[in-house]
Amino acid sequence: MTTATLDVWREESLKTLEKTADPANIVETWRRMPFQHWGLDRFSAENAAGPKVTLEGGAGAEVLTLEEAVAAKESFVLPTLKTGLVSSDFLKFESVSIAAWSGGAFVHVPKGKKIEEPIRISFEHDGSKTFQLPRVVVFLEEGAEATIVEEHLGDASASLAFTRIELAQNASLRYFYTQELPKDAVHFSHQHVALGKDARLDHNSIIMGAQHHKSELEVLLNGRGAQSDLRGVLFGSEDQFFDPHTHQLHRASNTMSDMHFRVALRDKARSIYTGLIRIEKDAVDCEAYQQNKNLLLSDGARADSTPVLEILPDRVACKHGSTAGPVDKNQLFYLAARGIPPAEAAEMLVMGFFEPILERLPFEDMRERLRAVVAAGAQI
Amino acid sequence: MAPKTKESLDLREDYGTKYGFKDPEDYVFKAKKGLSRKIVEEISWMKKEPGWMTEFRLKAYDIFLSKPMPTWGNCDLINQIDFSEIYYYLKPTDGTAKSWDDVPENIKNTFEKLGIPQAEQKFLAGVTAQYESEAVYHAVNKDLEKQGVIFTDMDTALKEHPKLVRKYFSTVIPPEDNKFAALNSAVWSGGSFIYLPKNAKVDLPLQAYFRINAAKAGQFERTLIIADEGSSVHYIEGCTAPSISEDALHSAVVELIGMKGSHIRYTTIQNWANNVFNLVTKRAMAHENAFVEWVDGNIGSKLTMKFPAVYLVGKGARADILSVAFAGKGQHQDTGGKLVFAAPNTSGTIISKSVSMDGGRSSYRGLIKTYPQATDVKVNVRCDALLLDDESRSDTYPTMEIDGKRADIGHEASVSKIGDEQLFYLMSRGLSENDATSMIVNGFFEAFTKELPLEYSVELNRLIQLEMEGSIG
Repeated sequence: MTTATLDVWREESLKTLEKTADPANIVETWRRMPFQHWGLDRFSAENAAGPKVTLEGGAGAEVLTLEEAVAAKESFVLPTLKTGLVSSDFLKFESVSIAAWSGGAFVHVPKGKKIEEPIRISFEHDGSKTFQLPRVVVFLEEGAEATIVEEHLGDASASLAFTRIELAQNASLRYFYTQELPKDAVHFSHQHVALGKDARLDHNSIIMGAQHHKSELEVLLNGRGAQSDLRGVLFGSEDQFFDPHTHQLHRASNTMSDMHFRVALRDKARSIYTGLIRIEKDAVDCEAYQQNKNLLLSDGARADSTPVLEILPDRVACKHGSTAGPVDKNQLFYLAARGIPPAEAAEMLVMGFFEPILERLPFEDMRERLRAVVAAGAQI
Repeated sequence: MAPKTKESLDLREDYGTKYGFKDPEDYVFKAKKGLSRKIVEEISWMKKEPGWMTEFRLKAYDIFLSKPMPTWGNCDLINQIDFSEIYYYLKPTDGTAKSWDDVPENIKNTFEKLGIPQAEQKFLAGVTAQYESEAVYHAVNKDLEKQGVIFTDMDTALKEHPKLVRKYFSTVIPPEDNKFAALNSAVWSGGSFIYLPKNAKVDLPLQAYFRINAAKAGQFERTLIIADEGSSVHYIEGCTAPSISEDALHSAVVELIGMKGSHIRYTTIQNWANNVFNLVTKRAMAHENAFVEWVDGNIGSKLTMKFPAVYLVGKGARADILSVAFAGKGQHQDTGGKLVFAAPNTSGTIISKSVSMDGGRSSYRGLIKTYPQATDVKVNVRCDALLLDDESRSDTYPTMEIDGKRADIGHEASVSKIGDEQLFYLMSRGLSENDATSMIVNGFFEAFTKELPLEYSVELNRLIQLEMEGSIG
């Protein structure tokens, strides 16, 4: 899929890619998970392809593949390719995505429309190509409401997924991002959500797959009274390595954000969660909360946690907390006292750790599938 | 809230009366400005040091040149440091004075203004005062000598206890550690050396005072405390500098070694003038069942970057870090603590309290790291920040790296302003808004002040009062 403007942009991005040096591994973003895992030196437009996209649900909303959307409304869709990248650490990833993306989804909900039926964007990654470069664009107009699921499944490859979401005044979105790629895939996800006045976001990340996973979730509370609620669960085993980041960026007064990120790791799996709450100087009377819990199920598992606060105004209420440790002995004892053997009890506790998020998924088959993954992994 | 009275916010004015006096520069030896191999050699030669120390300094100098500046933290401020504009070594007197009467008059005046001899008369066990680069006055209580405790300045230690110094010097913080540790290793001068033999107990705190007097001066003291098995000690250091318009640099290295079952408490009240870069590396090794405490108060300086660390390398070792920062106008307090767990059954806590006002910025930066062999570790981190106005800033940068199953790690932080209800409650009982705010801030710091000997805690409360005077209301 291409148009004249897009062709120019793709050309430019290829040039940017060539000109830009690999980020140094001393940069904090890449210190613990080197950039080289994505093998961008092997990149060419020929060995990149989009994953297979399946769209369903969302009666009443405009749900298109991104290719269709570009053809139908180029001037509206194309600029979204370039919105929202705040860090130069990802310039090379962005350049690759713009240069060669294919396979994508576009959701547009008109003013005031409330979409009852959940929308499912399913990306089935194709192992025959080295790179998978999907993109998602979501735009909810004033007062619109929707529930969207973005799922990543399929074969192993190196994937770079970019999602751009804009919520106008009073719009309300519930979003799910699930990543269940094979354990030899490398995956990067960059999600950027901008919230207008009184807009609401309820975002859920479910991260289970890939050998190397890196994700950036940027939530910009741009409009007064905007609210976001971020939840994440991550389950790792064998030698999986995860590097999830969340950003709660308060840029307007009276905004609220909440974030709960739960990690369970076994075997030699490793996670390095980093979260940022930043409250800008002019954003007063904000409330922000951030919590990261890490459950270490094996001796070899490793969890790093860096929850960062940057607070500029004084009229704020801001808290964060982070914990790491094994399954609570008291809870095991309590269950043992009720006749449940330790292995089974541990499995129950791990299931309980994830269930609050899994149960919110709007599709039964996904709920069942993910519960089975967790249950299988929780057996020690 | 009524508008702030800007004139009264000049903290240096208050600082000037109490600490900001400047003596005429009168030095036996003042090295040339800037840093070169030759200056490093000259410092070592002036001090008549053994060859290994000269080599150590020169090697450290090469490391200093090869290391890049830090790429994290307040880079804009750190990069303002012009290493070629600093005097690296100033020698104020000929040798260390043993008795107060032998100390030259002008230096005596300085310390009298700071209240050191009086403090000693009252209760202090020993005092080392460092004026610019050299320790000038130092007395050790008879009782300490009887127990075999060595408390002296670092230069004297190198002369009188060369074996001990050589065995432990730079074993906790090698010059390769970071650029500023390398700089200190190359040009260090003065600092305290303490050795406690087995089971020695020093009940009264040992005290040192550091002061920068000359413009563009660097102070690079080097402190080493070795607590042998079962011994215990409390060491207190304070620092001030006059308000000179040119920036000064303080870059110390402090190494603590806590052997089996020992207890070291290290207290710092840092009250440098607001043009001092305070970039300090402090680290302790805690062996089996040792207990190390850092009590770290940061009130002064332009930029402080200081993260006292404890490496828990022996079974059952324990560490507490209590860090308090007060960031006023033009200040950035980038402070915190690091705990590295490398042995089983170890535990630690970090408590950090910070207040930012008048455009000041305070950052908590910390690290909790556990290695796989460190099973059954317990750690708790608690950071609280108060923002007193909307020009100020507070950050929290904690890092936790947990490698191993049986660890129990918790981190919590909060940032808030003084509650309107709290102020209202106090004001309804007849306190002015200013007094009420001071009272709340002092209460906020109580966890810190109650850990200090009485006159330090009084001093700190007074300093906070000074910093806050007229800022509200």
